[in-house]
Amino acid sequence: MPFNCPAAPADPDPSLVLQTTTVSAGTELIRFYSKSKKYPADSFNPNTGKRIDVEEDGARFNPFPGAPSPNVPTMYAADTLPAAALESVFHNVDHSPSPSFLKMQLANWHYSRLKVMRNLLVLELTNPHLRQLVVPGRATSIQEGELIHSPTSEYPNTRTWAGFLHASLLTLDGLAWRPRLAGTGWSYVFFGDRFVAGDLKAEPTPTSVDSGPGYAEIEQIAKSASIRIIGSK
Amino acid sequence: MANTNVAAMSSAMVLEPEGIQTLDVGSAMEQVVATLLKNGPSSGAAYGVLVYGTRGPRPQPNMLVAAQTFFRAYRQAWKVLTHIADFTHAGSAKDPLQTIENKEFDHVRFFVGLATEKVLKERVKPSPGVYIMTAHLDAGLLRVLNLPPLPERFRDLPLVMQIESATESVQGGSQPIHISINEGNVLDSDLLEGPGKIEDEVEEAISRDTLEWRQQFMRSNPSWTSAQVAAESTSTARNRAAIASRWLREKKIFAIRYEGQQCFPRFQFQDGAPSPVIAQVIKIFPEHATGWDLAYFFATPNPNIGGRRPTELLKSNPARVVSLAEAFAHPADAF
Repeated sequence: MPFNCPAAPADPDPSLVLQTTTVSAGTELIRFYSKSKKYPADSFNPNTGKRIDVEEDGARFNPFPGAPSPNVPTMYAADTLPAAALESVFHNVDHSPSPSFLKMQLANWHYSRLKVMRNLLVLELTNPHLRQLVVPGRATSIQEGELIHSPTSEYPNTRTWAGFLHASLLTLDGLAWRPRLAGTGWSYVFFGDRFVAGDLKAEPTPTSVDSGPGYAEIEQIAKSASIRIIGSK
Repeated sequence: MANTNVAAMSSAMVLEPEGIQTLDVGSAMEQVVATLLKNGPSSGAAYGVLVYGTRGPRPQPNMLVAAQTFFRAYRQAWKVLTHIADFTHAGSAKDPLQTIENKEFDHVRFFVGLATEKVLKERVKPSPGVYIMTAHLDAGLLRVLNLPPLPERFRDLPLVMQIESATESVQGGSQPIHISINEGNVLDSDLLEGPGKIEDEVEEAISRDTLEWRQQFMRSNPSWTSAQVAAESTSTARNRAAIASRWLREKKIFAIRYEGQQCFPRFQFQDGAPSPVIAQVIKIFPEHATGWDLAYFFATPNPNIGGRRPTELLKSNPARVVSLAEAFAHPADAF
């Protein structure tokens, strides 16, 4: 049963008090990101010109406008390779038996290991931590399933929650959630305007995933999630 | 391809585990057909037979040269095998020996199944080139030789691979690859690759998943041949017969290869001409994208439009198709 996601309150709530969590300095994360955009592993996606209401213009928690208007730069990462791959490379794979994935698309990705250099403040998007988040016009609070397990068609609404939390909690560095497809580990989205150079340290060379050892890893992860990789030639 | 007269062949060499043996062509061919002979005696252990033509210098019975010719031929045949999309061994009782050819690579031929001596003599004709008896090439040996394993569906079958002219490229320097051009089709880069490229390239075999996906695609998406594209075309161009080739060259449409045929999925056309959005999508996709990549994008349920397929929006919302193609071709840009 697919979840729908209601939109967040239109205005930020500066009085909001939520239980946040710390990602400790020294934590290692993995980030999958664009090879063609050529930005470094520790720099954020600027989301330039992307629209919050167009599904394919971003992912679950980006883009969303900052104040006054341009989009807030974002970065996705996870604490294990399978979680990072399943939440990025394979995030659009549907929940059906043996879904397919086109190998050509791997050429657009690579990944890097990142080290967190200072304590980061994140909100865990799990039901206990979401209880204080009111949905406009509804008695029950927003739920993990609505935010994390809703389909792509809900992205225009899930993004509003990222925007609302970013605007309401001015010290928040990002959001954390249990990866929808990986089952274990943590996935993160970080807000670029809360970071300064040196907060994250990237390994020098990213790993390509369309050939070589990187492909072998990806193939294994796909296999473990019953995803069929479809060749091009 | 015309059968070659036995008289035009000077000699043959048999590659065996112990070395090479020079024989007359007739005796060497007996070793080839032995692996396909119904109720025949055990067929020995020869890996392959090299038949030499009369052109070029007289072949030297040199084991290393013979082995190199054999490896080269094996890789050529292997590559063609991986292009044979949906083979199932279905020899009937009446005609148990299947001959498989691929139009694009008409110098390579495969004989599959067991047959009587009479049938084999009629069908497995000697001609200059290399014959490979795959029964004697087990996976371990292929690995040691750094040769790719046979696609799974061809293993454990009585199989002889014939690679015509493969002996001439070494001995006489003549062109080992013949390219067939029919109906003015555009030559696609696959066919224009020289033999060196084929030899050097260790290309991925088409996986079972890929094959199944393609079969499903072909069942669900009607395609035209280039002749049908021409017949349906409203073009008034002088050379209408070659219109599909022209549109392909101009990147207004894309083609896929299936069972050795070039096919044009029909959803690309509206009123006898390419939909303009097809050219826009081709342009967005990376240079290295194949026709199958484009076919996959157009025909696969897309989560950004609630699981509908981009083909469903070709008429009603082509601008959205372009936006979806952008996201599909550069999926990481969203992260």
